[in-house]
Amino acid sequence: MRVPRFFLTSVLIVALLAIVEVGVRARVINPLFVAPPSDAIGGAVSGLFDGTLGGPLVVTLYETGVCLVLATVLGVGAGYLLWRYGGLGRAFEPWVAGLFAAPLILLYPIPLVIFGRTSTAVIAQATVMALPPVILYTRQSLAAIPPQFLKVAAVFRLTQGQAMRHVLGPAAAPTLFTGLRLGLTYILVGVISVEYLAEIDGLGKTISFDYLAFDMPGVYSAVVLVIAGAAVLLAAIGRLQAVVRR
Amino acid sequence: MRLRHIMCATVLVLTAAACSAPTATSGGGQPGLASLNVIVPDSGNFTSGMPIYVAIAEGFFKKEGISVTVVNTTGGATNVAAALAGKGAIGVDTGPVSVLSADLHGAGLKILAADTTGMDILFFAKKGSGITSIRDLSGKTVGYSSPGSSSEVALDQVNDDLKADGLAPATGEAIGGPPQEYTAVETGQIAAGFTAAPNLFSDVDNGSIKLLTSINSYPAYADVTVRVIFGSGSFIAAHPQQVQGFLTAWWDAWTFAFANHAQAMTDWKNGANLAEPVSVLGSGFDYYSARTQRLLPISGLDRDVSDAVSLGVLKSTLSAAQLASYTDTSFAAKVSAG
Repeated sequence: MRVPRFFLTSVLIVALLAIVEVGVRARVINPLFVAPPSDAIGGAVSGLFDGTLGGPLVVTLYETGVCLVLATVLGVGAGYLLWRYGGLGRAFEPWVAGLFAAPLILLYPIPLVIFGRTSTAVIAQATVMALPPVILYTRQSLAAIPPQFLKVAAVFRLTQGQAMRHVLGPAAAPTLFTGLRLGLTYILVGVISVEYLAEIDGLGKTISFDYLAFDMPGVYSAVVLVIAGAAVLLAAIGRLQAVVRR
Repeated sequence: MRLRHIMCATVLVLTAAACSAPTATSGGGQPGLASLNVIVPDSGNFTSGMPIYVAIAEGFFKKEGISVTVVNTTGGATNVAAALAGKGAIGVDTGPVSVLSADLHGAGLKILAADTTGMDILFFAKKGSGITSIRDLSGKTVGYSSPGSSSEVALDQVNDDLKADGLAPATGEAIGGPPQEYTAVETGQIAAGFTAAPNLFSDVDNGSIKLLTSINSYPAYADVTVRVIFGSGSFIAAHPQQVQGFLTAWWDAWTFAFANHAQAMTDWKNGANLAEPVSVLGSGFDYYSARTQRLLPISGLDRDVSDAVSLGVLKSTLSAAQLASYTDTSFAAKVSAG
C-alpha cells in the first residue's frame, strides 16, 4: 500500500513539533529562546482574530505581493533582454551573479533615506534583493530552450507573442519559476528583515517588539504566520506555473 | 604515496589541534587576570563608555584582577538580549524595565546597582527644520532606542506634557542609539531624535542640531533610577569576586573622573576612539555628578515598572517581592561602604 506523501509530511512535522513541545515544557530547551509550538500556533490563530497579528500580516502580505509583481515584471524583462541580446548577457550576467552573492540586505539604510520609514522603503529593498535570482534564472531558462523549438515556431510563422505564449513560456517555465520561487524567498527575507531592523509596520516589527520584550510565544506566533504566508504564496506560484505550461 | 599520507595525517592533526585549542585565554591574553565581557550600549555614552575606558586606562580593573572586553549594542533591551545570548556577563547603562521584563520570562538576571539616576535624555531636531521646542513635536515622529529604554520613557513624558497642553502626542519610532538617531534626523526620517550629554554635542556647538529638552525637563524623574547595571544570575553565583571587582573598579573610575576631568576625558577619547575634542566630551560633567551616578540606592523602580506597563512592555505590574528577587545590591553595598 502506498502512503500519500502529504500524510507522511504531516506526520513528520507533527512529530518534530511534539518533540520541541515536550523539550520546552520539560525545560530541556530554554523557553526564553523557544516557545512551545502549541503556544505559537495558538497565539497565531488568536492574534489573527484579535487584530494584534492580523493587521501586521496584511501589511507584510501587501508588501510581499507588490515586491513579487515588481520582481517578476522587472526581473523577467531584464532576463529576457540579457538572453535576446547575447552581448548584453555576456557583459552583465557576471555582474548580476555577483549581486546575487552579495549581502544586499546591508543596503537597507539607502531606501530608508530615499523613501523614509515607509512601506515603499521595504518594497524597494526587498525587490532589489529578489531581482538577481529572477534575472539569472530567466536568462538561463530561455538559453536552455533547444533551438529546434524556435525553428518550429518560425515554421508555423508564430508572432513574437504567440511564440512566447506557446513555445518559449512553457519550455522556460520550470527554470523560470524556480527563479521566481527563489525571488519570493529573498522578498520575504527582505521584507521581514527591514521591518525588523527599521521597526516599520508589519510582522517584522511585531517580531522585533516581542523579542525585545522577551515574549517568545509572540515572536513565534508571528513566525508561524510568516511561514503560512510563504506557503500560500509558493502554492500560488506553483498554480501559475501549471497555467503557463498548459 | 607515503609522503602524501604523512602530509594528510599532519594536516588532520594540525586541524584537530587548532579546533580543540581554547579560543580565548584568561584575562584576554593577560596572565593572571580573569576575562570579563561587559555589555555597553554605546562607547560614546558618558554614563557607560566613559567609566569603562577610564577604568581600563587607569588600571582599576587590573587592580581588581579582571580584564574587561567591551561588547557594544544599541541600548535598551538589546543589552539584555546580548547578555542572554552569552555575549557578556555584566551589562551597564540599561533601562531597568528591560532587565525586569526578561526576568519575568525566567532570564535569571539580577539588577546589581544603579547606573544613572535622574532622567538625562535630551531630544534634538535638525537646524532649519522649524522645530524649536517640544511643542513643535506634536503629531511628529520622534526616535527612541528600543522598547523599555529610558529614551522611550522620556518620550512618554514629553507626550504627557503635549497632551497636558491639549496637543497631539508625538509618535515614537525605535531607531537605535544617538548615532542612528542623528542619521535619521539629518535624512528627514524622523522629526527629532535623542541623545545624552555629551554625545553629539559637537553638532550642538556648531549649530547643526538644536536641543529641545534639558535635564530639568523631567522633574518627576529627578530621583528615579533610569538605567541600571545588571548581571547574569549564574555568573554572579559562580564569580562573585569578579562582580565585586567590577563594581569597585566602576566606582573608582567615576571617583577618578570627577576629580580629574581632563585625564578622564583623554582616557575615554583614546579608548573609545572618539572624534569629539576633549573639551566637548568634558561638558558631560555639567550633567552628571556623584549623586546621579551613585550605585545605591536604586530609586523609583516602581515608577519604571508602571511606565513599562503603560507602554505595553510589561503586561502587568510587579510585586515588591518580585522586584526584590530580581535585585541583588549586596555587591554595591560593599562598594558604597568603602
